[in-house]
Amino acid sequence: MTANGWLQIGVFFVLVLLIAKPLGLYMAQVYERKRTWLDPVLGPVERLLYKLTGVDADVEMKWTEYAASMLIFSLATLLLTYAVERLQHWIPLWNPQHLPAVEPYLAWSTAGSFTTNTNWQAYVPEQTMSYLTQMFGLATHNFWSAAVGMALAVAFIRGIARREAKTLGNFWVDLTRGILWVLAPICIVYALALVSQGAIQNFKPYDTVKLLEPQHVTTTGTDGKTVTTTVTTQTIAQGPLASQEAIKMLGTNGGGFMNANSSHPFENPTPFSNLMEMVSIFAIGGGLCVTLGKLTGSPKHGWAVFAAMSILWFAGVATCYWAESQPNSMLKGVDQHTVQMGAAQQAGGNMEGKEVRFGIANSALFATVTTDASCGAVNSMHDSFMPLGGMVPLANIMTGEIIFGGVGAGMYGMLIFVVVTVFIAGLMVGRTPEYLGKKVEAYDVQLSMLYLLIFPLIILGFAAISALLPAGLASLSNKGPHGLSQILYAYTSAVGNNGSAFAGLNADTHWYLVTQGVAMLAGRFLMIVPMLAVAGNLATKKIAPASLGTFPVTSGLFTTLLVGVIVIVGALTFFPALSLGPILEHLLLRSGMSF
Amino acid sequence: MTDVVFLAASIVFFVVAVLYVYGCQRLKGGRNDA
Repeated sequence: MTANGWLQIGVFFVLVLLIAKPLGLYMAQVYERKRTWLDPVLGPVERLLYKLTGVDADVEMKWTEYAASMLIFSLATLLLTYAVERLQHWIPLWNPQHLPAVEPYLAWSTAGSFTTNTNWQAYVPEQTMSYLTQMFGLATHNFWSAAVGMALAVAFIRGIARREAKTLGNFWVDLTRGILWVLAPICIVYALALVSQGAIQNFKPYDTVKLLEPQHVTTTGTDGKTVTTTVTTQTIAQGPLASQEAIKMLGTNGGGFMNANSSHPFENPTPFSNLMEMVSIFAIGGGLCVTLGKLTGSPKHGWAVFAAMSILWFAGVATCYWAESQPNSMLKGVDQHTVQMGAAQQAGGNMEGKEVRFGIANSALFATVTTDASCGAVNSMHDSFMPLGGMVPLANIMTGEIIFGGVGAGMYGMLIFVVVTVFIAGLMVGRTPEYLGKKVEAYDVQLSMLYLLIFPLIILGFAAISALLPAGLASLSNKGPHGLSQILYAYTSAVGNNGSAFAGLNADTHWYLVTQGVAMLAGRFLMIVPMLAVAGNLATKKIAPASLGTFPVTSGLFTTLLVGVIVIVGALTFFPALSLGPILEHLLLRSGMSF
Repeated sequence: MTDVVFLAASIVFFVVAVLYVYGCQRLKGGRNDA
């Protein structure tokens, strides 16, 4: 670890902190339908959209109506994306490479993946998706799924803030305003900033260039014979990258235009673009803490939640940076070990799977940030991390991605933890738990626990089955504890709607495409429903004045207890699985065994 | 044929999700509810 590395991590956090307040207050204005400086431009567009779709913006919805609207919208957009993928070869627009239709298993899994904000990609995008599919099928989903998450978070916040109310807002209005006022304007500026750094934005066919030096490639055929071919040209993929990259990061979607994702120089050209990308992952999640404080009338509560997220983020990045800065003990005695030990001219550490231009600090930071949130974009290969370094992204997703989190999803996930924390605090002192004046009762706790239990149930269930079935094991590139980590990561990423991968696992098989598709849908929608039920129930309650027995949710004690509950729930649930995966691999590595 | 299966599976999932909404709402009337 170096001072330079820590300085860069510090600069990143300061930027997140500086953005949180103005963005959070702006989002509060947007979702409360108060005046903003963009109203003269966007107001007429909004009214036109409501007129065309028949939405009455003044009609509010009960939580059940809000949930049903969200489900109908998600089903419609899933089927639309599936259709675009399957029909892309028939649509003459923007398919200069004449790519064929996407195979149905992959098309369904991908449609589910983008509908749920997961963006798990079991394919090579530049060889599979036409420009039209990338833009209309996938990038639009990045806006939709992000806006759905933000709408749901705001609905939960309204549930806390409102007194004796039956409604949580209007889903269609929240969805529309999230896209028009928040995501679209920021993405326009952001995409241009990425272009200024070197990200490409075009509709050209792919370029073919002649290699400076011919390459000889030896492959083994199905008959077992080896064939050596000489490669003299390289194809360089093109496309409308910058526009997709902006929402990919801001909306914590993470699905890359290129297979190499944010380690590709067209997606993430410079260290400055790398910083922008990392900050934008946390921007809305951090801002929503301020929105929470503003809309509930308790700004300190918003900052207390922000502090809990920050503590957990720091614990993750410090562990990951430390683990990746260590030399691989298996390399002792060979030249490579000397390189990894570091020297005056270079920092040392595990550089396998990392971009030299980003180095270890920015790779560890990116991996931590992208899994704290449900982004899933990568600028390094998590599969190549040291066992404990790779455990950090895995453990981050296992917390439920509530550390700033996916746009909206992180906030409502964190608020479920707040309800459980307040409940536990109430049990400790023997008083009826209250959350900002709302009594937390049996129904709220039952549904909060349902939310928390569905998550590990799906992950561990599918991972256990895959670890036993030949269809699950056939995809592994490594055996032993590392292989288990690959399976565990795949389902954790799917259910957590993250989308990053331990890339050693081949997920483009019927088994993984179907089970991960189901896992992504279940991980998104079966958790949203009980969350909205809690919000709807909280909204109906009176707000009691604070008394001596009220547990303050603005203090350092609250932040500490909240962090403790998150860590304990995560540890109790997933520690056995982690012990058999990355922790065992770490111990075996130190005794000279690798997989 | 595979397209029809995936279409049907998607619709079934979301129908189940709507029923789940109903189930969560019904839970409110449980005997442990305050």
